[in-house]
Amino acid sequence: MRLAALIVKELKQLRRDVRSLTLVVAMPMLVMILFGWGYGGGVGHVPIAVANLDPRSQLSWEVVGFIEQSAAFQVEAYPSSLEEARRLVEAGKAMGALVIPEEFTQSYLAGSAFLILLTDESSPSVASALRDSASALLAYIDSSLSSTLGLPGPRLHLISSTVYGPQLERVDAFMPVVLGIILFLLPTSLVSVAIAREREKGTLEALIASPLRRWEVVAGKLLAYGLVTFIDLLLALAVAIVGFKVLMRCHLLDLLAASTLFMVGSLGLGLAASAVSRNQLQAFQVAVFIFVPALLFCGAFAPVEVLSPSSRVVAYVNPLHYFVRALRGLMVRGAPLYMVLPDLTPLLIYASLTLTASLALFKARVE
Amino acid sequence: MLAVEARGLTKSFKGLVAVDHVSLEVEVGEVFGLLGPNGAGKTTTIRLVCGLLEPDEGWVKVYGLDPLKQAGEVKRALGYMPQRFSLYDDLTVWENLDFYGSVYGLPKRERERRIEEMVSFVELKGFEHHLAGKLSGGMKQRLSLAAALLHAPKLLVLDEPTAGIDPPLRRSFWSYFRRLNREGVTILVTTHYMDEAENCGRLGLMGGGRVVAVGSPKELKRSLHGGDALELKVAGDVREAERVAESLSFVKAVGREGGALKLVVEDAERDVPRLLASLREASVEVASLSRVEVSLEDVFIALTGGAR
Repeated sequence: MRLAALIVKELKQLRRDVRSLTLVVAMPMLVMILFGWGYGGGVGHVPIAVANLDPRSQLSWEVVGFIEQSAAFQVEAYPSSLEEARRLVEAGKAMGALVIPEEFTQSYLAGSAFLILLTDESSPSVASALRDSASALLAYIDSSLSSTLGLPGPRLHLISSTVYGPQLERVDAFMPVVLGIILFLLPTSLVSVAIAREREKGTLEALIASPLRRWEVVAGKLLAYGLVTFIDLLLALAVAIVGFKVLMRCHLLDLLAASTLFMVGSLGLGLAASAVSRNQLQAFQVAVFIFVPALLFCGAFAPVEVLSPSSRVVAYVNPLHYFVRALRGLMVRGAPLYMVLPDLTPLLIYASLTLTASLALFKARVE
Repeated sequence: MLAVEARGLTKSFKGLVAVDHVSLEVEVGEVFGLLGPNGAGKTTTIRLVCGLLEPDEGWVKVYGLDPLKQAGEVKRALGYMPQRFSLYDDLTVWENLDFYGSVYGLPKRERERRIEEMVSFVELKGFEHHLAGKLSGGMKQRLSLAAALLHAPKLLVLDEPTAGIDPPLRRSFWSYFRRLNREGVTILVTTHYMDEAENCGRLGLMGGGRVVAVGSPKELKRSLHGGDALELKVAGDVREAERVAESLSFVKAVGREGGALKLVVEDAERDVPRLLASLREASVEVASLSRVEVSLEDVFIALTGGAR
């Protein structure tokens, strides 16, 4: 009952703190919307290249026409060979390329033809969105053509071919990174001020003069802010999955389990920062100070393997690095939860360490 | 059993000794005041008593229990009102009290009854749904008192409850305290107001981290001169009066100050009639005999060498 009283108190205080509340509600959604808007595929007008290697037939140009009219794509270039199309994708000038092969018309009339889709697998979510859009477009073209020509369908197929662009690993699966940023920054910044605020405002004195035990104070904060950030996680995921149809090959529960584990670690980190800080500003600074190297060494900007060997140790102790890896495994590769256990284990250690530290560092004494 | 017993309590912060071998005894049912200027070590002493700090040396017991090792029991037995407002500004009066009621384990029904009671006791009726942060200074202090009283503690520990509030409110605070004390609550209170200290049954004078004297306000004042001081003026020869005074056993000291005589007797009420009788017998004509008023401040200054 005492714990419940603490949680209710925290939530009431958060509700009255309009600025924090705005941050809590808007930050994850805003980040996700910005991210999806900027990086997310599948929303349309993806720049692609179209190569017509069967230029002498009218049918092939009709297909090009369909592609040009499609809202899903924006044709940026018309290369004249497969190699040129591939180079454009590799150079990042187009997110993908559709290639109409030589003798396309002949094959089509004979009963079966194919189009080649080149995608850049270094952005798996974009590649997957491109595949989806291209398949949908192809089905549409197929049925339109068969009805106008009076031929029985279906006769069109898509062959996917992948290319690894120059940004290989750099833009590699940004979604896990964005989720990681949200789940790192939000819990730490929220909870880091929680104990520090009690200390700064003097309310800690009455709190520790009460029969509440140390662990109860810590657990009360943890559960209240855990609940809030969990709701945030759901909101962010809803935006990503429903709004931007982000690539998610794994089970939602697996994703939630991994995310919750990382979130608990972040809460523990924030609490520990809070416990050693004298005021809210200090606590917040500690949280941000830890965030910067965590972001730099999480594999988002450069894969850990290309960092200088001695600095890699930073990545190996960086929980964000393991979280991003785990989520890439889950969301991009569609691995089941047990397959990413090697990355979840460090996260489990991280969560237990930070929670223990926050309890150990929080002195139920006044100074 | 004593409500509070401390022996040789010592606490320093970064090499600065805040409390220096303090020993205290607060009896059950009394109002015990710790009087001293800011920085005398009153708050630190109080915090040691409440188990909010760990002593470097010495020990303290509250109803025979260790405030650190038996924290749960001690914290339930005492109600603590810190010097600084320690409730939540962004919660209402009711929410603050409800929170602390739950923290002290009061069941819902009882909690509501106690909140009602305490809100009317500290005269905050009608403000239950105001945010604590929006209350005036005096109202905040009253809310703090209500929060400290919610779980009906046996011992009320108040750290400068009247600091920075206006005199009428200070008086009403002392009327609350007297009422609570009549109802059987033991009170340990700190103050730096000398006049307020007169309300206490017994006082501990603190200066420089030490308790320099303990006693009732009356006893402490007597301690300044070793008794009650009187000023005697006579019409005739002052030397005759001096001779008479010196011959009396209950007169502890005699001194001349200008034309007047300064006497210290054991107990003015008892000894003044005897003194007058003896002077009359010796045919000394008394022009005036008056009590030299001693303030706690005089005592304080004498005991601490004026260190403020």
